[in-house]
Amino acid sequence: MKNINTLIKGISVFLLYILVPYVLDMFLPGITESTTIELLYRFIFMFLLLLFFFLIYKDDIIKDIKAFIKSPGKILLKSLLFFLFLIIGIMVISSVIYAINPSFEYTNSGLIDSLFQKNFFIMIIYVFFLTLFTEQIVFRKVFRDIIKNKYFFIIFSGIIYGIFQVGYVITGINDLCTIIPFAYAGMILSTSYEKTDNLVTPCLVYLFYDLFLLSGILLGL
Amino acid sequence: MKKNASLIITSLLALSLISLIVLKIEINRTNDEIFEKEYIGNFEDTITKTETEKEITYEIIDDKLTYSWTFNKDEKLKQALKDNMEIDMDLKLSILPNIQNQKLNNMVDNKDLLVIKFNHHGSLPTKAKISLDVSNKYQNGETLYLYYLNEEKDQIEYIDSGIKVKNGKVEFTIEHCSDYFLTGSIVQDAVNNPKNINLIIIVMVIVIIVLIASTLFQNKK
Repeated sequence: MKNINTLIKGISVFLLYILVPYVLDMFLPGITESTTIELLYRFIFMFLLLLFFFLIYKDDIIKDIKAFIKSPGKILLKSLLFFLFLIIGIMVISSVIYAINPSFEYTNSGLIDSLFQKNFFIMIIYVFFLTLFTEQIVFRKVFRDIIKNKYFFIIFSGIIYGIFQVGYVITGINDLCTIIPFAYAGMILSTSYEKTDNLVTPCLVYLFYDLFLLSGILLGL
Repeated sequence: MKKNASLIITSLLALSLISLIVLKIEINRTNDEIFEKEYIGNFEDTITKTETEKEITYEIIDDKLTYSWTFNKDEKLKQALKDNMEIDMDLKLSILPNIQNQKLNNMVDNKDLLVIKFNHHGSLPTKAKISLDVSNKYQNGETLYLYYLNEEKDQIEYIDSGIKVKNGKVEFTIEHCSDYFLTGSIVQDAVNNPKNINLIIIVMVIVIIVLIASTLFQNKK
């Protein structure tokens, strides 16, 4: 019975994560023409969704935070290690894809750049706070609670994470290779969670990676 | 009890969102019957006006093109008709094989496109459905994207996707007249590109099946 409850809770959280942005896409453009206001509305709804996810997994999240406070150095060190694996791996994978397909580009990079240019502060909070926690709860916590086999969990959650990062804008077979770096990132994040059994670890890895990307944007790289 | 309550609320929220999406799709379906058909001679072309309870359609046949405009008989149109909106040269459109603005042309990789140039530039009294004969350019069954050429902002804006060529014709809806183009592939540098929801739905279903299977497998063990 406990397994079934975990399954229903997990599926519902996963469905909400997919459906809320879709419903917002359906209705928000009709409400306002301003990109900033639309992003603000989106931010409020996603914040409420994150709050809801927090409440659902409150006990486990508090337990993980307490464990992190108890020994922050250990988790920070492991997070840094996984972050290094993450950036080195993404650089290698991207170089290989570039070598095979010179016209390769991250499918959603143009859109993200343009949003950052127009609404820098909202996007910073959106990426550094909302996306960070929501994705770790959905792709790490939900999947790990249901899938007990660690290898299957790492591979499956990684691939699904990759698909959901760029799947919305994939239109042809050529775009499929853009999933690979994101799927790799997903697998590293899942491994970090699996190895430490603490949701704070993938959050920190993701945070380090975002800071790394942000420094690139700020330096104009 | 507390855990069951959060489970029920999460499931209900997910179900409500699914219902909302289904309802929105259902509302968009309409049926209509013709009750008036009229021939209008105008600017050397043949214009046929067909009026139903809900719509007015103007079909225009000139020496090169066949196309039609369909307006919903909503309040905005009734007001525009009261204000003496006339069916004149503004309804004319022409098609071109390429984008004349060089900067915008460089943004499009696939040069197999059809530029639609409207005589009238600016807002329409209400949304208009355009039906255009594209049999000389595209095959039946091809799926096209519609983009708006925004020369003021020097950008290409996504309008619609999944426009199917049926009986040599395509149908799309616009709210203002300007220059648009149809193309068989997505323009990566365009603003507001579509989200590939089909892929997401397929992956969503796969994830749910895998999670259910995983739980059942655990229960058997």
